[in-house]
Amino acid sequence: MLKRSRFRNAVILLTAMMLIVAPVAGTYGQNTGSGIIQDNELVISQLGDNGQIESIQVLNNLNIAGGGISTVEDGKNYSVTSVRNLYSTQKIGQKENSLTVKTTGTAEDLYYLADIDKKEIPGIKMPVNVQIDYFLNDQKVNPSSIYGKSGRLKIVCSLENTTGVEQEIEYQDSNGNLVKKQATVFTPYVVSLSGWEFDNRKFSNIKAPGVAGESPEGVLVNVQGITQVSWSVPLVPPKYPAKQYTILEADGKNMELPSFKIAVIPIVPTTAEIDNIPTIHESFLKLYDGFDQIQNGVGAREKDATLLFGLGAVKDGAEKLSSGLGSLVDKMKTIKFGIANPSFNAATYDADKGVDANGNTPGLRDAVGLLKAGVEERALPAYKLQIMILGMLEQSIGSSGGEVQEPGGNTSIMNDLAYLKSQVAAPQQKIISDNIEPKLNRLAGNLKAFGDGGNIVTASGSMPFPASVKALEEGSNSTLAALNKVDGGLAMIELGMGPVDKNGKPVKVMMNGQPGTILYALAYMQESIDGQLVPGITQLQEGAGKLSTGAGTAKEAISGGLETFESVPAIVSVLEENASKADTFLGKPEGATGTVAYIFQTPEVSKEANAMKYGLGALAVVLVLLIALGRPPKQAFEAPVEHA
Amino acid sequence: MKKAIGLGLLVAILFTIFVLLQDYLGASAFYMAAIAMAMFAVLGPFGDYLKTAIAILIGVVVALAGMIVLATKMPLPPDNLLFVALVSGVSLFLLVIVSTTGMRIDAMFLGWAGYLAAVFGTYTTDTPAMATVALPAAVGVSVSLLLGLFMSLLVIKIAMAVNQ
Repeated sequence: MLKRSRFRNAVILLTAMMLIVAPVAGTYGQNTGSGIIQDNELVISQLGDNGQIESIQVLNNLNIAGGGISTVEDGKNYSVTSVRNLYSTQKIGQKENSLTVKTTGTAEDLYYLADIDKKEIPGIKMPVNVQIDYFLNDQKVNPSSIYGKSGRLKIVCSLENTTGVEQEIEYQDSNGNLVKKQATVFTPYVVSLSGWEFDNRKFSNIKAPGVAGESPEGVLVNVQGITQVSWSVPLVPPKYPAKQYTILEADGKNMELPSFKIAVIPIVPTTAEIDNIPTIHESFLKLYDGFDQIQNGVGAREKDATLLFGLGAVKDGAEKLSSGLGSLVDKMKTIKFGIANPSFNAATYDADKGVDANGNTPGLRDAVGLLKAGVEERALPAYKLQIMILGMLEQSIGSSGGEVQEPGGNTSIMNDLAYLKSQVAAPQQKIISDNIEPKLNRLAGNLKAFGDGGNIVTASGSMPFPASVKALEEGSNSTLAALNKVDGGLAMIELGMGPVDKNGKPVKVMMNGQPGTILYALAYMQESIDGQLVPGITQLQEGAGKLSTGAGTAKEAISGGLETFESVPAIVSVLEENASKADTFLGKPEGATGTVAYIFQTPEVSKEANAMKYGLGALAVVLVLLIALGRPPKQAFEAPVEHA
Repeated sequence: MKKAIGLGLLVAILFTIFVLLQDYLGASAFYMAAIAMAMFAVLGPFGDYLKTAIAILIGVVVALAGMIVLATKMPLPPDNLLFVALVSGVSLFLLVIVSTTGMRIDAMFLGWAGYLAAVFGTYTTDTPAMATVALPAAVGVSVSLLLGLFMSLLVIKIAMAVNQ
């Protein structure tokens, strides 16, 4: 019976073992793939009360796809104090520069946790510096001192991307030329501060303000009495600053804070934001062309068919016009003096020398005045006198016929001759009648003709005599009238010319708001040209120069912007490349692909530490009380004495 | 009757004070104090409450050690049932061995179970948190159980005094 029972037990046990071992054996027998290893690291840094990193643990996941790998050698960039396999039993060995783990030879997921040696921590350069400062009522404090206190709490988390390196990037500009440029390029990291929870019973008036260009605003969500605050901080220059910070402010009473987590991931963030860069780039190009055209249009003084060239020509022309006007004014003054010499004194004029007593020559009007004076004062009176004398002579001669009077002082020659004729004999009378009287009659007739005009009798006969004194007088009167008109005309000309002052400058004469004389008008024009037109053109030139300079400056600025736009694809490409290279912290197996993420944990501000102290105190008190009261009385346990 | 009412009031007030102050003492699961009270009422007025208290502490310490080993040396949940079973087995074995020295095994088991009840949930859901809660939880469980034990002693003493 016993043997059957033992045999039965052995069979049952063997069957059970086979059932357990068979799948494992089958698993060991498989060798299905090429052994691709994916190394995923999570670097967990615990921040201490002083804000420095106290400890670093690396949670490493080796995902072996496909089999065929019996031992994995994972990289070890820093020394570790302990390594433990988290979910399986394979032992993880340490070498100087690597961690080795034996695998099952099949596809599997290995997780291990490595503690970085604390001595290495000060020398480790994290890709993102995380600095958290706590302020209570504007005083900087350690987080541990916040527990149980009340006041205005402010938490400032400063983040800095430290991966910037100078690098040469290449890109094509808008003209298709290859451009090389030195730029500081970073590995892109996005920092996520999420799920920071604040109990509404302890915290109120919670704010997470932002500052444009420096600090992103936090998102606050109130869920069942807990306010959750989250930030997303891309540290991706040039679009975002490499150095940013977040601010949280709240009024707290009897404060406690959980441990906050800050995740840092190397990634080029992709958003649904509409990419306006190509549109802006195109607009910039057009703007650049526009300014280029403005600058070319303004041109230069010596550059043909440009604004400055034209303004220069206009200015030159205006200056020449001014110069011409100046000459014209001088010539007009000469003409004016030619018309009337204000210095000339007609009273002292010497006709033989042609000048007055001071040597001044007469102008045209002065000469006309002299001529008028000559006619009026000399010629006409002379003609009148001549006519009078001729009349007297004619009267003295008398005429034949008429009553003969006895000759006296007032009788005429013809009267006296007629009386004589009456006194003399016939032959003498005949001589008188045939010779003397006709001659005297002819003389009287010629004298009359000489005075009043008509015909004169000469030896050759009678002929008209136009040059009578009367005709001369009439002619002089006509000349005088004409001279008056000439004088009048010259006076108008002189008036129209306008006066000049003692310095030779045209005197200002305005009529109806306009220059009233030629000289003043010419001087006015010259003054306008010199005082306004030319300076105005000069200012136009200066303004055009500034326009050109401004257009050039705008072009430079736009050119800088265009360079930025044109370099964006190259920078994005480098960013993506850097992000893909940031795939390990501790190290990874050769040929493996990897990813790395960082978590920074802030110290918890809670009652646990104090509570533990009080708890230990309470324990001690209870033990003391139990020692005093909780021990049984000795007599109750004494064994009864055996009576012999 | 009056004495019973007085005793009841005293116990109620003591327990109420304990519940109100549990956070400050780090005591977790105040109802464990009630279990301790219930369990050790049977010790009676002449029981060795001090020894029982020490046994409870031993149980807590063994459980703490076992959880530390599980959290730091063994594979983590969820696929670690075998290792949990091994550690539990070894812990209980140790407790049984220690009980041969005179320590009350029920008290040790109560301490051991009380600590596991306090932290096992955290161990399975958030193992890294064990680094910060393991020791405070041990203190808290010890405080709860020992205060419960002390209150049961008080109840017994008062009852004895009343009945005399």
